[in-house]
Amino acid sequence: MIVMAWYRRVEIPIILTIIFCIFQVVPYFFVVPAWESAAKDFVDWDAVMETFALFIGFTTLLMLHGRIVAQRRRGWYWSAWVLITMIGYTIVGIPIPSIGLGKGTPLFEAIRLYVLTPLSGAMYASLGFWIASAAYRAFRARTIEAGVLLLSGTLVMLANAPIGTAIWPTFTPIRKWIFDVPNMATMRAITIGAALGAIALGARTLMGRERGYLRGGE
Amino acid sequence: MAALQSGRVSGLLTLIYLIGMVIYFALRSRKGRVPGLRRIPGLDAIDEAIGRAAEMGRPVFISHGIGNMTDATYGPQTIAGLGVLSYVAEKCAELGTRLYVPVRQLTIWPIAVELCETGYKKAGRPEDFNPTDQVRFLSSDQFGFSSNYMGWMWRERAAANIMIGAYWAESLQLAETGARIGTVQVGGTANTHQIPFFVAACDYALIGEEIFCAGAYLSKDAEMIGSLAGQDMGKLLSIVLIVLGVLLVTAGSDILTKILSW
Amino acid sequence: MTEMEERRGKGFWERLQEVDSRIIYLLLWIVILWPLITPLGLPISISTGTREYFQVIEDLKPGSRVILSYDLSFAGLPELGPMTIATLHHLLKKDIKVYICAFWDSGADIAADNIRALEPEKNYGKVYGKDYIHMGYNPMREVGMAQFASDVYKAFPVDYIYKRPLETYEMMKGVQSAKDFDLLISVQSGTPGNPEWVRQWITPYGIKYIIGILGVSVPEVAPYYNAGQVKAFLAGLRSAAEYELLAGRRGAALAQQDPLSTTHILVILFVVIGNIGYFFTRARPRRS
Repeated sequence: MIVMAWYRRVEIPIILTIIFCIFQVVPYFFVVPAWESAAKDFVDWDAVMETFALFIGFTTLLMLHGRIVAQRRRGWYWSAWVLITMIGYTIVGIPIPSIGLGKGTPLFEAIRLYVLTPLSGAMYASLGFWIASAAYRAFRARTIEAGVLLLSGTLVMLANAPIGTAIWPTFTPIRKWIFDVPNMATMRAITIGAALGAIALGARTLMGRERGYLRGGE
Repeated sequence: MAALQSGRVSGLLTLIYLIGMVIYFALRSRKGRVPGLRRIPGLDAIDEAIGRAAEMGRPVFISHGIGNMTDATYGPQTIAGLGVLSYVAEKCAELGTRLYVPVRQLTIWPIAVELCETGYKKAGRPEDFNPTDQVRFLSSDQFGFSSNYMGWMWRERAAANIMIGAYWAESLQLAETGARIGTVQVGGTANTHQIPFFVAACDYALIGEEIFCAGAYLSKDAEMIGSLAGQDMGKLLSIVLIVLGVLLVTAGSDILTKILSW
Repeated sequence: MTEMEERRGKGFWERLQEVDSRIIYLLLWIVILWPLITPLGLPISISTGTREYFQVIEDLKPGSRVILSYDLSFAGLPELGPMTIATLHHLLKKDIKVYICAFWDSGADIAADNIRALEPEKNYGKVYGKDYIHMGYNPMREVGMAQFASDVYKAFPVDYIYKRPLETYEMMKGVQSAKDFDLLISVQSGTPGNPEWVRQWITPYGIKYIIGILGVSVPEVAPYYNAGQVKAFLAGLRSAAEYELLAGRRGAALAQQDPLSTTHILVILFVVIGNIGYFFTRARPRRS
C-alpha cells in the first residue's frame, strides 16, 4: 500500500483556500478593521510570492533553452538568443549606478526606449494585420445573423475612418446607436452571466468540488 | 447596522442566495435528481480535436489564458482554464497525443505542471511526461508570451489549439496563427472585448459564463452539474430584478435602486 | 498536390474567397505607407464624445486637483501615446494641480517621458511639486487603487523623480484621500483599468472620471459611459486626433488619420470581395 505524505493531502489546499477566501470576503461586507488589515497583509504575501516566482521563471528558462542549445536542437540559435538577452538585461538591471547599471541609468533606459518600446509597439501594431485577415475570412454572410454582423461591422468601420464620416456624416450616429443599444444590451447580458458563473465557480471551489486546479482533481 | 459595510448589504444577500442555490442543487443532484445540460459544441469538440491530433501525429496546445489566479475578475477564468487543462492532459495521455502548455504567469507554472503530471499518471503513462519541455513558461511580458506561443505552435504544426481563460490583445494573434496552420481551435473567455476575436477566428467559441461551467460539463460529475442549475437560479433572479426595475423606473419609482444600494 | 496546384485547380469565385493572407498583409502595408509619405489631408469631424472629454477638462475651476493615471504598457503606446501627451498638455495649460501616477510599471516611465517631452517649467511656467508631481508606480493593482483612495501617502510614499516623501511637496497640503480630488483621468490599455477604478473610486467616492482607451475596448466601456460612471472617453487614434485639434497640439494621431482611412477601406474591400466569391459559389450548384 502506498501511503501519501500528509502534506500532499488534497484537503490541505482546500482548507487554505477557504481560510484565505473568508479573510478576503468578510472585510468586503463587514466593518472589521483587524480583518481588513489581515486581508491586506495576505495580498502583500501574494506580491512577495510573485517576486520569488521570478526565480522559477529564470530557472525554467535556463533549463529549457540551455538544454536546447546544448543538444543543438532545431532552431537552437533562437534559444541562445533568449539566454543572451535574458542574462544581459538582468545584469544591466542590477542596481549599481556607480558602474552604470540599474534602472534609470543611460544603458537601461536606452534598451527600454529603443528596444523594448518599439518591439512591444510593433507586436501590438501587428494586430492590425491579423484583424484584416480575420475579418476577410470570418465576415461572410452565411446566415442572417452573420449578415447582420457583417453589416454592423462595416458601418462601424466606416464611422471610425475619417473618410467614412467625410462621405456621409450619418455613419457616426449609426455607430453610436449600434454601441448604445444592441452592443450594450449584449455586453451587459454577458457580463451578468459571467459574474454569476464566476461566483458559482467560487462556490464549487469552496465546496471542494472544483478541483481542476488541485493536482488534477486527485 | 454598523458592522455591515454600507452599500453592500444587498450584495451580501445576493451572494448568500446564490451560494445557497448552488449548494442546494448540488446536494439535490447527489440524491439522483441531476438536471439536464444543454450541449456546448465548443466543449464537445475538445475530444474530437484531441482525437484528430492523435491521428495526424501532431500536438495539442492548450492555454489557460494570461491572467493570474489571484485577481478578482480574471482569477476565476484562469481556474476554469486549468480545469479544462486537467481534462485535456488526461485525454492526451490516454491517446498518446503530444501536449504542450504555454504559461505566462510564473505562479501558475508549478500548478500547470502538477495538473499535467496527474493527468499522465491517471492515464497510466507517467513516463511520457516531460515537465520542462511540455509545460513552458514563455515570458511574463504579454507580447513576449504571444510571439513565443505563435512561433512554438507554428514550428510544431499544432493540430489543435484550445484557449480557455482570460485573454487580452493576444487572443487574435494566437487564433489567427492557429487558423493559418489549420488547427482545430476552441477559444473561450469572459473578457467581453476579446470574445468577438475568438468568435471570428476560432472554430468554436465559448462565450462568457460557458467557460465557468467547462469543468462541470467535462467532468460529468452529478454534483457539479447540479451546481450549474443553482447558477441559473441566479440568472433568474437577475431577470426578475431587471424586469421589475424597468417597470418601476418607467412608473417613476426608484425604490428598487434604493434597495439595491442599501 | 501542392498548395499552389490545389489553388490553381479552383475556380475564380473560390479563389476570391481564399486570397493568401500574405497578399492582404502586403496591400495593407502599402496603404499604410502611401498616405504617410504623401498625406491625403482628409477632413476630420469632431465627435460628441471627444468634445465631452475636452469639455470636462476645460470646465475645471482654477486650483482643481486632477489625477492623471498612466495605466498603459509600452505596447499600447502607438495607439494611446498621442492622447496621453495631448491630455497632459491640456492639463498643464490650465491653472490646476496635476497629480501623475501609474498602476502599470511601464506607465511610470511613459509619464516621465511625457514630462520630459513637454518641459512644463519651460513651456508652461509650471513648478514641480507646486503645480504638478509624478507620484510614481504602485504595483498592487486593484488593492493599490483602494489604498490610494483611502490614503494617498500609503499608496505613494515618495515621488518618482526625486524620491522625496510626498508630504514634503507644497501641492500635497490638504490632500489625504480620494475625496480631495476633483477629477480622475486614466489612460489605460488593460487590467487594472476601468472596472477596477469604477469599483474602488467611482462607486464609493463619486469622483468625476474620464478615460482614454484602445479602440477595441469601446464595446466594453460603453455600458459604464451610459450608466454615467465614465463621464467621457477617448477611444483610439481617431478620438486622439480629434482631441489634438481641440487641445491645440497637433501630434502623431493627426498624422496617422489618413492611413486609418485607407486601411479601413481596404479591409472593407476584402470583406466585400470574399462575400462576392461566397455568393457566387453558393449560388452555382443551385442553378445546376
